[in-house]
Amino acid sequence: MMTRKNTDKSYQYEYSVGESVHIKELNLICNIEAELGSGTQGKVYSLITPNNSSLALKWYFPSMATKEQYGILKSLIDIKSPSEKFLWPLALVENSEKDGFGYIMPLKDKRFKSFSLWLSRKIDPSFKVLLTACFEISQSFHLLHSKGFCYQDLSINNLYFDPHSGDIRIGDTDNIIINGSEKGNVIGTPKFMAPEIITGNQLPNTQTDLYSLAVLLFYILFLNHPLEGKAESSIKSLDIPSMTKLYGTNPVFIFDPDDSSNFPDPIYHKNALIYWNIYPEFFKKLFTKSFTKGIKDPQYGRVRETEWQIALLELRDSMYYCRKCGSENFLDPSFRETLGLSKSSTNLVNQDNLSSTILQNLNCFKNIDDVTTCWNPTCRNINHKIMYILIDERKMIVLNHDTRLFLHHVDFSLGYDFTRIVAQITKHPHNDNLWGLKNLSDTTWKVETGNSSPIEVLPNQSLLLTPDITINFGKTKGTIYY
Amino acid sequence: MTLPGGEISKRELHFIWIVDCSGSMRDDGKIQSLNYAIREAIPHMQREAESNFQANLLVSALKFSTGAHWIIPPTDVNSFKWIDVEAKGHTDLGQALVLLSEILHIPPMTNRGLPPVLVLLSDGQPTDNFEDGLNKLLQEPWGKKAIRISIAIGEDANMKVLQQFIGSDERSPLLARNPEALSNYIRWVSTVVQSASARPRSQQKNDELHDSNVEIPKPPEMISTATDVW
Repeated sequence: MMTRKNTDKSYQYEYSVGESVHIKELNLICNIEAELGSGTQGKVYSLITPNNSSLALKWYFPSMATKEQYGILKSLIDIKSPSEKFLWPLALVENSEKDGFGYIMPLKDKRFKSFSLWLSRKIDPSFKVLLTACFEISQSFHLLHSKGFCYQDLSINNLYFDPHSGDIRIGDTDNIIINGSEKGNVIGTPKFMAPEIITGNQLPNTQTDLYSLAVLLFYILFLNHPLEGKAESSIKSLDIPSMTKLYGTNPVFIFDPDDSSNFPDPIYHKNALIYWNIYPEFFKKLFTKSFTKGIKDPQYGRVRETEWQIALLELRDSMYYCRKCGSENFLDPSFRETLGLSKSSTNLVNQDNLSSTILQNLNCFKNIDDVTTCWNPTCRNINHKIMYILIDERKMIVLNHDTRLFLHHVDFSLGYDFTRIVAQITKHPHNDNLWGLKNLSDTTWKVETGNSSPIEVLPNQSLLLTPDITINFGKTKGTIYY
Repeated sequence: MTLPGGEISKRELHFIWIVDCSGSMRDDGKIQSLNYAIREAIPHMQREAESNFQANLLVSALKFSTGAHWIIPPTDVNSFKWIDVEAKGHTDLGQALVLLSEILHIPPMTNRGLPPVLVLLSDGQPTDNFEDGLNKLLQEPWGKKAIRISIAIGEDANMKVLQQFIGSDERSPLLARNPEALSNYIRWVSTVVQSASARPRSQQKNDELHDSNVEIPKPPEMISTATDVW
């Protein structure tokens, strides 16, 4: 019995179902429930835990179980996760009967799906969900980068989202390193790697992460790669040499305003053409910057996460439902120029430095009838009646049947927080044709209407929505337009 | 409301099993192990393909013994069903490669695809003119671009021939000494290799990015307690 271990029992690097796993750091003994997947670095298993917590184990292949990887994991575990959105390493696991080592991380809930299911159109999220997910991705990477980390391998394969809410989870966190430390085994995933990594001039860093982020957002919102246009469809065999050219040595944005050589092919890149026509100009500009200046100048040309966050939220707030077909459309502020309304007020003070195009000139933005056409090809409705609230003449939120105002909408000094709802659109209890704004905050609103004396809306009361009334939320004032 | 547009445009990816059904495959249950291993691998292959948004995976199979013929035409991976093969006759690998070169011609192949994956499984010596067949295959652009993998079933396989089929100095044929190893290798080619062609994985720092046609991850490390049965 005593000698058995050394004689006929070979070392193993895999677990089988039911096998026990001792997690010393957490003082837990778990069992393998199932193998969830196998990647280039190792295998991932779900665990049965005595306290019913949802945990997963990643066990490295022997060649990947390097000293360096061990060190990275150890420091990640010490630092703790930046937010619950990261499936962050919780504890190291070693086993005298297995080769190498592994680590424990939270197991993602089943509601989280791979973005590739969206790209294959096997799930059917809304614009609102996609924009929420993109916002959360930008916010999470901002948080990670601001702590001095670099993700190194940002790609669509490592991210998951809830197709009903847009909530996200970020996997493969075991490649995260301190920016600039040049540690770790990976250099990225092709198609997501910044050109300067492909050409061998750089190792992954936060600037290359920003490039990968822009590719990822483009994929999610345009269902196409930003560099896959005519130059891609003319390639017969998409192999490494052709990919190096397309994504590395000669990258051209498909909507490059100065170079049409890689414009989308109407057969293979139809999605890019369709979605390019749906999003407002102010939003598309960020992608143009990312893949023109951002390619030429990795240090200063790239779009920062905070810029993405602001633009994504503005886009989300500018969304309205077509009255005829229910499709989600976006109110493009550039049509004001078409109406000749643009020049009167460009001197708005930008108090929180969150400058962006949609916020400018908004006080002229009052007659918005018949300026946009629904993108739905079977609808093409041009008759939109859109109600919106303009807060402190700067922040516009379209009021739809399901709109909610959050604390950051009415208090510009605060960061984004989707857990604190201050107002919500509601239906009148007795009259379906009347809509109100329910006060879900704990402060009383003072409301000025044009002709009568000011009224007060107490918490949990609703205010009938009529044009030209102004609500004083405390720190800001919002005026309703229709 | 469903959002506009359709699924992202995919490239065709052909995955072709080239199976040795010569008489010697009858020994020690090799052909049974092979049938079993491929059947085992199919659900994993389908699952891998599901999360692969870049490729439209088409699987087919070609067998060779005395002569060679197609047993399964290119089939969408989701409706792919393995048909068990039997072992009998010679090892006409050359003829199999000629047949292969015909299908890798444009047309019937698309002119917009991903490098095909050709998986050769064999336990012995070719009995016909293997080199002529290989030359024909390599004359086809898709044959040359293909990811060619070979798995030797047992020690008797001609490793030189299998190496010639691969054509790369960096990789070697995979030697499956027992059914467990065969099953592991078959699962590896049907999941990891198919995705290497279509959905590139994370690159390792020391990978050679520019020298090869397709980046192929390392095969599974075979550490096993089982004894060699073949």
